[in-house]
Amino acid sequence: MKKNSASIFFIFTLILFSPHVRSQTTTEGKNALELMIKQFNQGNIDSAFFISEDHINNSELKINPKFWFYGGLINKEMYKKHEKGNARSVHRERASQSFQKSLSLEADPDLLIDITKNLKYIASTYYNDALHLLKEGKTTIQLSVQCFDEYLELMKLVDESFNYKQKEIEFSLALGSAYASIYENDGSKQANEYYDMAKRCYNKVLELDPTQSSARYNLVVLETKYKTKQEDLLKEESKKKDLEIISLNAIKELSDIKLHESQLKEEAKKKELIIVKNERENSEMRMRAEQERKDVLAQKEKQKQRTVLVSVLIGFLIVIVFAALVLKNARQKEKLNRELEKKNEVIEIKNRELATLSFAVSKSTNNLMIFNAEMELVWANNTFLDINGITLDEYKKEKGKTLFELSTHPDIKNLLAECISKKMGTSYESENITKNMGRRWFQSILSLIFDENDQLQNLLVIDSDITTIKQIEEELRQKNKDITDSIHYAKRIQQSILPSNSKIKDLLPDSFIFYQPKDIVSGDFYWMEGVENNCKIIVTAVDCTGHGVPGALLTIIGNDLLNHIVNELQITKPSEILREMNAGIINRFSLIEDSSSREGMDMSLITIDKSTENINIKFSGAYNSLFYIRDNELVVLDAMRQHIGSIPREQRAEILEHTFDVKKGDLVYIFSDGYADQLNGGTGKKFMKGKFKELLLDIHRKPLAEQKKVLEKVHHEWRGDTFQTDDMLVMGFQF
Amino acid sequence: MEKLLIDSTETTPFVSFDPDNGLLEIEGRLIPEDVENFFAPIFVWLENYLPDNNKPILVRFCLFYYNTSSSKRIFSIMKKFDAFYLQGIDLKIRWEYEEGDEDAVQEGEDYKTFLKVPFEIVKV
Repeated sequence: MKKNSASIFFIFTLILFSPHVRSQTTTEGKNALELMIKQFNQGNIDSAFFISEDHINNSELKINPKFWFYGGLINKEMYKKHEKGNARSVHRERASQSFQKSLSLEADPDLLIDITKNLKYIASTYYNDALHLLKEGKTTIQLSVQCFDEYLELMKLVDESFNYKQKEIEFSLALGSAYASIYENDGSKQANEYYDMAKRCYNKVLELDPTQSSARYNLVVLETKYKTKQEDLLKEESKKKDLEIISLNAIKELSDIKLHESQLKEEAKKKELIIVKNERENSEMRMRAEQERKDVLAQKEKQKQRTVLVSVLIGFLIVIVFAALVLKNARQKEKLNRELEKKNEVIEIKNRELATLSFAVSKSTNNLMIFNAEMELVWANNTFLDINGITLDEYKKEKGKTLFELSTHPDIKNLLAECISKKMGTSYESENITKNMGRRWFQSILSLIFDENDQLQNLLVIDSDITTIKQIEEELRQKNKDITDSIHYAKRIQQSILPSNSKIKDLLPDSFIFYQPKDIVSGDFYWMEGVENNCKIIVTAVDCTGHGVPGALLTIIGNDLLNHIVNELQITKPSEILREMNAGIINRFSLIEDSSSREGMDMSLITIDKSTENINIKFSGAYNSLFYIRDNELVVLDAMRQHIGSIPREQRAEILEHTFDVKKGDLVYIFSDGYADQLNGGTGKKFMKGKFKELLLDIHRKPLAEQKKVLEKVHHEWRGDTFQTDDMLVMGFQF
Repeated sequence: MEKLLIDSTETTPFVSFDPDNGLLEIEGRLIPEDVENFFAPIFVWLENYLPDNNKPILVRFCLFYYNTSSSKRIFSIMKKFDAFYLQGIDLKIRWEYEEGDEDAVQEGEDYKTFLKVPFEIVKV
């Protein structure tokens, strides 16, 4: 009982006090929340914000979805008020977190809708920032990616049906082109990283959706730019090598001097020997003279009858000869001394030069080797030793002493024999495996040094390391192949838009199409469609601005527009189709600055109407006219003198249209300007429209397949070995 | 004033301007890619020259290769000459074409209709 009463008391106390305690906090939290909402609704955002900040740890409010929702709204307003356009906005992040928190707590459906709406709004600001930051260059690109990720996260959270793949494609394309433009404008070594990033973006797009041809084209354009940049780099590298070769020429001269110096020394030695020899001869002569004099004295003693005069005369003569000899010797010696002195001076000067230049030799990044006449290696500079990692003697022991053994050139013997017989140096490239630097490519410049007697004395070999150039060469070759492959792939895409052979046969059984792109892909294209049970056939030959890849991109747009206009809008009247084409091009390019005046098309379009008794043809052209031949006479139907994409407003209403009924045997031709614009291989003159007309008149009676062959043959004869000037397209029909 | 001389290349024509007789000749190939860049220095030269000029100027265009699709850009060049004329400079354009080059004739006629500067079309 005692125990019972105690527990009753406890329960009572609990009942009595705990609601009181709870109601106190609830009231405080409730009041704060109400005040916060009130302040917010009255537009006092800042004070609402401070209230929310103060109660962020309130245990009641912490689990109240409404508190977090308003916290989100307040932060959102703070963001809009203070940090709009700031991608690093703290309030936006806080708003996002608050809304997410509110979402995670159970809330009533109405609130849920509001939370979702707000999160979507925040997501959209992240997306806008992401796009905006892309345009600001490389410093903000990372932030842009973060913003986009944030956007994706939020959208995935609030919208289950959200097509994030599409957004990712869009953003990756934009990101790719941002990286590409940074790459293009960045001259530093880091530029290649941006190239890789741009490539990765485009590849990601293609992974997500392989039909994204714009990514593929962007890749081609990017790779082309990469190639050009690499070529420039290569040019610079080769310029650097040129400079090195110039300095090496100086070194070669220096080594000539060194060799010459040793010759001088040799000579000086010889001269010295001569002096010694002369002195020896002199003393011998002196001794001989002494002897003779003694002999004379002896004779005098022996033959006293010989007159003193004779002996004196002889003695005198000997003295004269001796004196002359001594004098001559002294002179010769003096002369030699002078010569030697002069030569010593020269040698000293050369030595000084040598000292400075030998420094240069030791610092040169090129291998320098001197061989003697037996082709034995006698000297090499430090670079050589650095690269090979061993001393000259070790190297000789390992690989051999002579140039034949050392060179990796496969035919060094013959090469050398040829050089020596012609007395001319040479240069060759070879691949070596070095101890310190692995596989390296060298360009060797070989110079021969001959002595005065035209005998081979020394051989100087200078190896420049051209591995980088070789690597770039290889890389370029690979890149070039990649790009060409890529363009070939583009060609397949382009071919897929052209009407198939069976369609052509079906719609225009008596026709030929002479279609010859200047490059792999073409800026010209043709299009045809049968409508109203093939009672009306629409055929057009189109020439887009430019050629190659940019031209080809336009053909895709042109093809799209034609499909849309004829198949969806069901327009068949030529002038109206041209008007719609013009509007379509302007529409597509209106957003791109400065391009509206450039991108465009020339075209001729006919609608063949077979529903009436006589086949009727209607024709409209932009710059490109139509020829038809009737009774051996060529009739020209003029085109309007405006390009599709830039028809002036006042002329759009009345686009020139011709109509005529076909007579049996009539031949109709439509074409781009490429055929008549082809330059002659010899004279450089244009083929010209006049000649084109004559040619068609000449051949119009031949079967259509034959006509195509003649056009091809005449073109090649006219062109000779010069390049094709432009894309070419000629179409001929008979009814 | 010095003579202006620009050598022809694969893609651009020969240009010469002799201040003594006021003859500006543009002769050769003109391939679209860089038409405006090509003409820019010529206009700079002309602007420097014109204040001292008191002779009539004849601009002779003899482009024996230019793609019809580049016509728009050539027209923008023509308009600059037209502007000179409208400023009161005694200037005349002669558009030369070879026999049989109908495109060139038509092109010339197109230009003529849109320009105020005296414009003659001459067969050579």
